[in-house]
Amino acid sequence: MPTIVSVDDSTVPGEGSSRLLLLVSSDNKHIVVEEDIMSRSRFISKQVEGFEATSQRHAILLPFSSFVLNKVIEYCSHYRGYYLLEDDPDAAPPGRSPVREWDQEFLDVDRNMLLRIIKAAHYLEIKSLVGSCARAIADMIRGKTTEEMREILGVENDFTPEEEHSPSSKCTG
Amino acid sequence: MARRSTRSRRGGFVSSGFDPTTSAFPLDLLTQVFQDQDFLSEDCVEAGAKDKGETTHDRVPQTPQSDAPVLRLPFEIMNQIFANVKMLAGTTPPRRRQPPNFLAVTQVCYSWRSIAYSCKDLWTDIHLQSYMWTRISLDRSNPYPVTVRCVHDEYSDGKPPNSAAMALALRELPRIRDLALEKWHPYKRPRGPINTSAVDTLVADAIRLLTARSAPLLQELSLDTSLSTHPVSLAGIFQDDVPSALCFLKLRNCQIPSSSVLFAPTLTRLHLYDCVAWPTDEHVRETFSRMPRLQNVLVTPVKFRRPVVGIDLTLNHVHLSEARNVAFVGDVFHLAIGMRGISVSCGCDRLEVTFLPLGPGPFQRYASWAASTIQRLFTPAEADASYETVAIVQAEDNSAPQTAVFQASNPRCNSGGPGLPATLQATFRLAGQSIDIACSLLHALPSARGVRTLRACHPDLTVPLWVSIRANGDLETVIAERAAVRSLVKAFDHAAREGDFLFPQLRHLYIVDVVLGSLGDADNMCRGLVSELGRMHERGEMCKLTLVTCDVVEDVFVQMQQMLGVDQMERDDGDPGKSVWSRIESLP
Repeated sequence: MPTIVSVDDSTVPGEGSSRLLLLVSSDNKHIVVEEDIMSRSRFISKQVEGFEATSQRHAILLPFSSFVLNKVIEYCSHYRGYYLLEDDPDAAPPGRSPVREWDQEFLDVDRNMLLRIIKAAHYLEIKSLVGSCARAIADMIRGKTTEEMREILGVENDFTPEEEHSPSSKCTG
Repeated sequence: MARRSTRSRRGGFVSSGFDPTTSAFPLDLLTQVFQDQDFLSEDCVEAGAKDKGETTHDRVPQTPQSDAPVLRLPFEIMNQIFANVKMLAGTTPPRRRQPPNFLAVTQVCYSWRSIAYSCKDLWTDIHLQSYMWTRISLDRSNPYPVTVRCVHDEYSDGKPPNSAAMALALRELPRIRDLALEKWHPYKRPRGPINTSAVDTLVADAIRLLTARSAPLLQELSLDTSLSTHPVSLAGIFQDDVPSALCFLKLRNCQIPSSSVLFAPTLTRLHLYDCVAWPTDEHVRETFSRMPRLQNVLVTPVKFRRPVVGIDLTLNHVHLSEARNVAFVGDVFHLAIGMRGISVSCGCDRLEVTFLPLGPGPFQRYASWAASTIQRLFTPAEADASYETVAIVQAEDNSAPQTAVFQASNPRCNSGGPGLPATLQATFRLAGQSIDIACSLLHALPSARGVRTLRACHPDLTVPLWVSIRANGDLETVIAERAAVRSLVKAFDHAAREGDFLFPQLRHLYIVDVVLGSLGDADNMCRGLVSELGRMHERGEMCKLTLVTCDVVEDVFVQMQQMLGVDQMERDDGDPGKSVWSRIESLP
């Protein structure tokens, strides 16, 4: 569960034509973002619904860095107002992650960053971003040998020596 | 040997619900079978299992797993990644003696293996290439619905499909959602000789099983039978007392039962390839009346019981009331006659007809046949609306260079709009005549009169054809692309010499993707444009010109600016590789 803290009115502008949210990253950076932008996140939407039951304004503390959070906000900003099937809670989930050209460029980042983004998207329940990241990771390892997959994703071989030298290791390597 | 704790090996994963130590099919056994054995043989598999006599429980790894970030991803995400790996690997069945490519993920580490084993997407698409693979996939996918494919193609090395694997799969009929029994993939015919009879027997057996047993989850059924060796009656599958969820039926080389009527109330898609259909119109009407939800129809190529004009035509006097997407493929003669009684509802979204070559023949007759065929495919009485946009282009399919595509569309034509299909597409594969017939449709179709926008992209578009298109005097926007630009400019010259306008109502001309590498090219093009647009301006008409071009050097650009007489042309470098000049509101 996220930590929700009460904040001063002067910190979070909440009145006006567009409602604003205060997101606090794990490195204690305060990022103010319009609620509309983050409405793609089911997690944020649920939090906002909770806010409305109380008179206090709140900030949402998130367990990832501002760098990652900014990337997620960039994604949400790009698709602001767009309908994406994966993010529709009433729609049947698509069988496969669709290819979006902008997403491919957006996710052209190093391996660790990609993994951080997908974890953040999962936490925030942004299914379209999770799907695009999953596809990007799959794309990194497709057609690769087992050894190449380990190298690309920094995974160690933890099979026993017997397994390592069993016929099974030859078939894909 | 010290064993690692289960906790450390599973660290980071939220849940898997799978214990690899109780795996029924150790991976190395599976892959060894793939590599070392003829895995079409059940005996070999059984023998291999006995010889190994072990499970993954006996093979617990020794070294601690690294703390790699990817291993801390939640189970659901890893599942999604593996599903994408499988999807990216394609649907091509594994070659004999080789495991599918995606199995490599089960070899990376213990955690990945455990997740992969419980990732249903990896196991629910089953190709009946081997008994062992079928058995393992059925086991790992249980209890989820599965897709079963038996495609005899180039990967089969001329050997018939595995009947034991087929029997095993069909034993799970209650959870089969998609079933495809095909002689070969349409584009991947076997390299060597094919044992057609064995395949037909297999398919016939499968159909008998389908008839005898219930398949409550079956949604897609694709069958390929041979008329000559094993005519198979499909009637048993479609009995009216059998509850069915079938929504997609694809038949190839099948004989539609003549003695009975198919009962498929849930069917939404019907694709018939090279099928011999019902002998009488009554059967046709009766069958289609029992498919009230039919939305997508594809018939290719149209066949006849007897090749005699006017007798026993395949699909005649049928009204596809709910059809949203209708496609027919056939030669121009047979389509013109065979489709004469078919009509689609005014709510149809897309109507597509592909005309195949028939041999040399008089152009005018082909053109009139094509036009009449297309007209008959919608309800003429409701066709008082017209299309707004027409495209005459070359097919993107490079294998058919002499193809012309005529596409008419009207964004307001949908289920709530005027009585026309929202998109009407006619593809002509008639060597030497495709483009002529496509252009003639612009005049022949009542619904294509009054078109406001024309997009032209075809190398065979000549000056006479442009002049012929002029007969449609309502064109306000013309988009000329690549090869069509040169002929358009010549047509402008031609009209100027006659003291006439090519398009009197023209308000916006797009010149797209024309390559202007030299001053001569620019000179020719600008003179043609000035001849039409300049004179229009003199008459007080305003016509906007948009050039979207590439490879234009600065000198050519300046010359165009001078010749067109515009003070300023805006250069948009937003699209790499292209220079876009726009906002030329008029020629002074």
